[in-house]
Amino acid sequence: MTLPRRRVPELRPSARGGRGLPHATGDVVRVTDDGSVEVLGPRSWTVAAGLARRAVLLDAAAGRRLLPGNDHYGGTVVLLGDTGPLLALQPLAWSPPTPVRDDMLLRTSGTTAFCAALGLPLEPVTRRDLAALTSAGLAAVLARPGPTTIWPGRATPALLLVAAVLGVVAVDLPELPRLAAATLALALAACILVPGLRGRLQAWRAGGPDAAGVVVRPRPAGPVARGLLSAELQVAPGRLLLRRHRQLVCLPGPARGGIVQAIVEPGLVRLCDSGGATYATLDPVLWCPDEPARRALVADLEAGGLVVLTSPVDSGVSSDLANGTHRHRTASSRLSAAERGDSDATTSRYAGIVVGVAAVGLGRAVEAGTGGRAAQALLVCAVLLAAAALGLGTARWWSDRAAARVVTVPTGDPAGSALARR
Amino acid sequence: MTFELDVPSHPHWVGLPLAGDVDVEAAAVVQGMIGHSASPDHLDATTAALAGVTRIARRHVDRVSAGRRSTVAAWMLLPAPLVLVAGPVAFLHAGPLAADARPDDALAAVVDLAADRHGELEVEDLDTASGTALSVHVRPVRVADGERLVDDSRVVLWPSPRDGLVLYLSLYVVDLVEGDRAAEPFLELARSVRWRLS
Repeated sequence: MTLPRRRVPELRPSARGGRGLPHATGDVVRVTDDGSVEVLGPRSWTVAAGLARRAVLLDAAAGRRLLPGNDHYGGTVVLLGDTGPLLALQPLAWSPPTPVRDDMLLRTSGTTAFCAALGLPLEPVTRRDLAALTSAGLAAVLARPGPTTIWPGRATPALLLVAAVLGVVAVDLPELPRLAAATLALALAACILVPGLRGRLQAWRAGGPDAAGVVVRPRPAGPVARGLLSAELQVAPGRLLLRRHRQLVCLPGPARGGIVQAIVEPGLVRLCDSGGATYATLDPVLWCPDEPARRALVADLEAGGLVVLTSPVDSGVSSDLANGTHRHRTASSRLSAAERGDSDATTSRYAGIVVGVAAVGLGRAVEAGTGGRAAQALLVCAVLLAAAALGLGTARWWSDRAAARVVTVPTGDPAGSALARR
Repeated sequence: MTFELDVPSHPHWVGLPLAGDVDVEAAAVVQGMIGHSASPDHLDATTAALAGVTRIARRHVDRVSAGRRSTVAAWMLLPAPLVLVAGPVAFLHAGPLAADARPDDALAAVVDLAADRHGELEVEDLDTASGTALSVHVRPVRVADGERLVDDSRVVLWPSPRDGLVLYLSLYVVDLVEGDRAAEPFLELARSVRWRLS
């Protein structure tokens, strides 16, 4: 099989987790064979061939002025047509999980190949371009990988609070107003509960991608945090899937001009393209701490079609795991709430206050002991549930902490069981 | 006639040794810049990198001298002050110029105006320590492996028909975005160039 030397003009999202897992493999921005640009994600659209006249790069400062979010490092690439911007994308949101360097980011994210496939050189933005760009215009064409925020987003705690207060007040009201207040409060809680649960259910149903190619798993020599052991690297010609730290990232494989080689260094395993640009690193403490595990890892990677080179010196420091002793090694990278599709920390915190208010309401309903007590308790419980659904961001923090605390030793023959072919 | 050149040191540029033994001269430059703080291993690695860039620069100097042009000096661009990492190299060349040459002729002597280029040719006046110079920005098109690539080239030239020469500072970067980042340091370097023929 002859492998294309050039990177296929296709961008995949940076690592996703939680509700965002299906987006790691489902979302894509690519140039199709006929020269049009296809965007698949929470919002899908196509830019017809020949419409884009120029590709310009906005620096981080300009990007921050014009667009919300946290993916500004590395800039924003904008395709400009005759009438205005056609597509905007931030390479950081579509980049592999390596320590980021400006010059490498454009290449490893696939932005360079993307612009080359369109026949457009990536130019620095000019003052005249900037004057013509507006926040609304750019936001309308921004290709951002999923997940999107679940409606009503940051307004959720406010709505919940209204529902909870209605519940608390309703206890002292006569029967008719109490029924009205309870119904209103329940409707408000349902507004939060239904989209929230539906969004999470959809992500749960979507499941993970099918295993393809060779599956490589960690082979730690000593005890490590349990959460780290579920890591796996699937190596197939088309794509590499790296799943670790409750994150999933899809990387271009050898057949797509992406990762073709693995360089095994004493303190670092690098997955690189033909030009030596690093796409991902694996920490040897987890993946190959001793010689047998190292040999098994090399065999796995070669079976997956990668060229494996060994180097006697380190070219850098692994950023995969946090420093410390084996026992306390934990994932060094955590995804943001947006990348997991969870409510952000502020929303979770306010949701906690709402839970408190709802608990007061429940207490009062029990104290009141009148005929409407059951309905009242039901209402308050519904509000509590909605708030709990929102507080998943906080819950995840607890589970991360728990995963870091529990240590376990792998059993069985790791070298034999780790190699699984489809 | 003697040519005098005075370019004050600039935090983003390090002068490349165009004469003498490459390794010895590169080691001297590295020692002078970071010798007080870096480890011996880092000094060795940096010296090797600087010597490599200098060798490439010297090959370019040889090519240019075959076309009746001489190279006065060369500087390597640093990403940040005292960070000795290989970067684009700016050359200060001198070439012949007819006594009755107009500014356009000087421009044509330095920049290939007929070559395929992306966008417009930008020509502006630039105030420098040696008087007003012409600052030129051109984005030449290069086809490699069937792919159309656009590079970034900047030239600042001081035409002196009276002396029969044109002095020009040039920088060539194979990426428009990188070229844009190099633009400001390049113009600062050009503004500080002071030369005289006496």
